[in-house]
Amino acid sequence: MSQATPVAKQVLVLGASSEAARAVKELLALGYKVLWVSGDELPSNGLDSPALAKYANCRLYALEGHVGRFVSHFLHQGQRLALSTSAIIVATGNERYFPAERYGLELSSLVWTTSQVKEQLKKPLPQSVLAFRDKRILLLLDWSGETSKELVSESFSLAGELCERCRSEVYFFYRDLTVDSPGWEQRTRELRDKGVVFCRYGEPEVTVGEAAVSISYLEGTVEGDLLVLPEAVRPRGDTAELAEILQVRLGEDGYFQELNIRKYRAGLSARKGIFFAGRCHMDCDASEAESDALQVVAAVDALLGQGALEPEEVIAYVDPSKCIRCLTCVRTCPHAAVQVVEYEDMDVVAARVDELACWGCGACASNCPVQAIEMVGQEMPAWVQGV
Amino acid sequence: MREHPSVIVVGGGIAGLTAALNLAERGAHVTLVERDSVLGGNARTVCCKAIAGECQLCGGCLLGERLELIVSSPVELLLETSVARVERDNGGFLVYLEGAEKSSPLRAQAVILATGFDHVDAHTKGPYGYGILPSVTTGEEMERKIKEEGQGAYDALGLHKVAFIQCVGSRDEHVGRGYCSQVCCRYALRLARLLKARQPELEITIFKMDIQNSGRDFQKTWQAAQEEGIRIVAGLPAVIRRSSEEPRRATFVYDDILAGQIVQEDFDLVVLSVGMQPRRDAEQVAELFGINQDRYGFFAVGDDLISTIVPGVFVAGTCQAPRSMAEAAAHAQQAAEACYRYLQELAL
Repeated sequence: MSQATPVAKQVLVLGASSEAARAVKELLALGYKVLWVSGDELPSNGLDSPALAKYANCRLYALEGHVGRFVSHFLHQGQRLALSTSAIIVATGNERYFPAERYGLELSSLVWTTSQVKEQLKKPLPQSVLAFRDKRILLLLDWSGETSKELVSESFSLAGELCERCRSEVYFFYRDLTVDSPGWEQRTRELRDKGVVFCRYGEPEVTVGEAAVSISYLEGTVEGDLLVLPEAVRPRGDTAELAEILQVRLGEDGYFQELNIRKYRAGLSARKGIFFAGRCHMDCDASEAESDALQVVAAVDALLGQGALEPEEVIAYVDPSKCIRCLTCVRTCPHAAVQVVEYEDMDVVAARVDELACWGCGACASNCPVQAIEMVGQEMPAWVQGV
Repeated sequence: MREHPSVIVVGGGIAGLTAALNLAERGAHVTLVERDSVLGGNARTVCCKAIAGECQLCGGCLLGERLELIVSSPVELLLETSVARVERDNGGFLVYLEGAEKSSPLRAQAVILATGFDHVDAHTKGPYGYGILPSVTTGEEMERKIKEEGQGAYDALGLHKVAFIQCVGSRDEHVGRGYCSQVCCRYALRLARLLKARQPELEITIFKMDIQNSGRDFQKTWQAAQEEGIRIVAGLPAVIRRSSEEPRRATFVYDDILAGQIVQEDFDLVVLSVGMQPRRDAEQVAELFGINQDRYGFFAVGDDLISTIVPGVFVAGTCQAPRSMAEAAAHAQQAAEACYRYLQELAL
């Protein structure tokens, strides 16, 4: 019935995150043409290639087409820009904020965020180090009631750096110590060896005084020179808008939701040809996000690597003469594979299922009120055709 | 890439299947070697923990789809087969097999090791009385029982109080396992919720070191468990004994750190949340392929958590470190990517 449709090895990568950069680099190495687009500035990390086109400060306002022939419409420096690609990797990352309300504390010279500490440590010597030299630093995790692997991982790194580079005395307060990533238990052991003191609290009492901070917990009170609080992460502000334009799902928590919520095929969105990588869809630290980008590229290459796409073995087919244009199928298709179009040869307007975008789930066929949709096999066995 | 390079995947669990499928889809000739007579590995014992039909995202059903895909894929499957000897051959590998129908060795440009893990043997934690006390079981056993007998397996046993003990054999440098097994908090809480949903009167307590409640897919379970009245205690027992009043029950003393008190309590059922350890044959496999093991016995890798010291030998899934099924599948797909890039460079 249908044959393989040739597709270009051309991919759109959305986002300026480090996982986006990793995906771009990997795609280029596999010989893909890459269009790298972000709503923000793009990192200048030496990624340059004749096969790479970069567009910073672009806003996606519409998406047409399906897998193999997406056309993304952007506004770029006041101009309209239309980019054709076979697949899209969304790697927009997440957003950081300081949950001041949940902490009930204002930032001050005694209360810093992990990011502020990180920035200070990046400054030139000796200012970077002197700010923390010989000070007692209280790192308070979990207190906002939110744990994100990214911030835990950063807090581990900061604790180590403060101990080693600044000779700080670091107290690491936690409710439940997060170690459920490969190698993290080892990291906490190494921190202990460097002198970091780990303290478990139930309900800590935090006091910010004139010149010192203190935390009272199960085993007593620890006074320190500086209280460091991790920020929190949340979905980027434009996630919902982007999901609507791309016609992909959001989870209850506002992050992008995979096709299979059990993450069996990690990174696949509900729409064929659209993938999620890294922190826009999962809770992970920066290096895990980059690893995720690699496995998403493997999935993209499994889809496009042969230069042609074939429909699933069973797909939905609309009989345009029966269709009453009620849009039930357009609404029920979980994969955004159905549209109402004009069938020029038949001179009717009716629903049409894109055969490459269809997963063959049958949701449209079972909901069609006039039974205009059938599930058909891609190739009927010879004996069926002969009957 | 030139022609069809050959890859051997060792191990037919979730990781091996995922890596094999990805490489086969990308045009490699893949042979999957599995020592067992069936595919699936440890994933076969994981039960469905859906509560009244609502999925808890445990991943228990992840295997089925992959098994369907593998049989219709061009991946060559060799069951009841293991690797006997490996030789270097012209930059690639010559792999001699044992038990295979094929007598000639397989030639491959690259190898992916996905040999999986063993459950920690609860007998080794002697003071917990596993194998001696009838009321002490393991999470693995509970999964298996529910998988075989259905979700009602524990309904009619007259249980009133159930304890889950976390970190049995994990996070314990004294027994050579100074790592978190990643999955035990998740399966214990999901099993606890399943039991509680079926028997609301059941008093369930989870004894923990630190609950690993990060991760999008797990936050919901964690919150729900607390709302449903599952008690969480920070503190682990040292010894589990037979109850003197009721010999079928178990009793133990624990230090409730947060409440600051020492308590003795009886339970009808104690579930030991056993973790993961390297497979018992990890050392032989490492030796066959000339790769290293880390301090705990898992296969040693570079910073990418994929490559070994032998170019062309990659590792995937729980043979490298403990992982959930979904994470093992994702890791395997990364291994497939690294392997594919290696083959690509080899061809140039």
